[in-house]
Amino acid sequence: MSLYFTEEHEFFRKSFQDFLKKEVVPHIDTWEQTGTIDRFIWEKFGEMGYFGLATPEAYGGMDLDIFYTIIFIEELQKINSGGFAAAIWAHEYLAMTHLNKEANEAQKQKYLVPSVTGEKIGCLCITEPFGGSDVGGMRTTAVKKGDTYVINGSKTFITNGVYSDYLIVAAKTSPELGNKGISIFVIDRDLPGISATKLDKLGWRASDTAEIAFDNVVIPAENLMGEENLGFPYIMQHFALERLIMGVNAHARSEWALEYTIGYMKERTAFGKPISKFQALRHKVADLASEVEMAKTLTMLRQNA
Amino acid sequence: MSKLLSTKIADQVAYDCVQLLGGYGYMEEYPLARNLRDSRLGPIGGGTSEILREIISKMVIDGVNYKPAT
Repeated sequence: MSLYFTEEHEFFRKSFQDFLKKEVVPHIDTWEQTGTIDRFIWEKFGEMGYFGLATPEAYGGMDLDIFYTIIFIEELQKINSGGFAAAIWAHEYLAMTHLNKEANEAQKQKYLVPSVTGEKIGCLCITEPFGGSDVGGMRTTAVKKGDTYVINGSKTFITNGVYSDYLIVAAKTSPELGNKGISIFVIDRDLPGISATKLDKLGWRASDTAEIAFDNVVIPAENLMGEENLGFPYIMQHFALERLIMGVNAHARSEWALEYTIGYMKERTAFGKPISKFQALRHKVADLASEVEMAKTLTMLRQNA
Repeated sequence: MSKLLSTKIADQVAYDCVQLLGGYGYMEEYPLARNLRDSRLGPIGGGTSEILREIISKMVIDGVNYKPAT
């Protein structure tokens, strides 16, 4: 993949691998069991600048090209905790992407700058209990009253839903307009009327995933992000990045699983020889490796398109 | 297209790698059990594979072109 990665990219990869091995890997099993990632690691990521890969320098970031993000996402997968990886990328690439693209200057100073340092953690709230894929059918409302909006509704499957400090929330400002009546707000966690319930999941066990209820939550009108009723196009636009990330996640965790499995097959003996010598298994590995290479190539190619 | 294909492939890899480790693949002491669990989210989160196929079919059959809002 030297077509995409320069020497500087690979240097970044190596230093991030070392960081993960030293600071994160020793805690992963604990976080997988408790379902809670210790707060200190967020600030360590911030200190190292890892939350600023895609944020301009004016807000404390480094504004690097997309291939740094891809390396970051790949290496997060290769420590084998989808939940930890999700907590990190949901903050940096879901919540912070909305801040970077739609927030005004005051919102950026208040939320984006401390997100880069890891002092504030964000989450993105779009999916609802009554509709995930049907974004236009969401029921959460934001009703304007004077210089405030009043938020009512519920969201679910929200990564960082319990421990985040702010929430980027999609709600209907003009319900009669369907998907043309959605707006995006940034909301402080500690406001009255917000409650979160942690969800128990098949996997991603290290990440805190929650259902969140908004009961007459009063927020300042200045917390509207971008323009009223443009929420749907904002969401759809940023989904492209989320889907890229999930494509990268998929090839990266597959590469990791194959590497681990091949190592095991060389060590494990049966019927007098390493199982890596059995043709049926070799061909299985060859098929899988080819498919993964194809997926990776497609994902990487699309980045230059 | 990238997410649709690669999450499907990743689930197959996760499933087959467990098989290649035999009984140890099923044990929590080995890492492939967690990989199998975590991988399963891929085709669901951030747009299910069914929604992605809806979008892709609009692009390739109806010629729809999605443009950024800003």
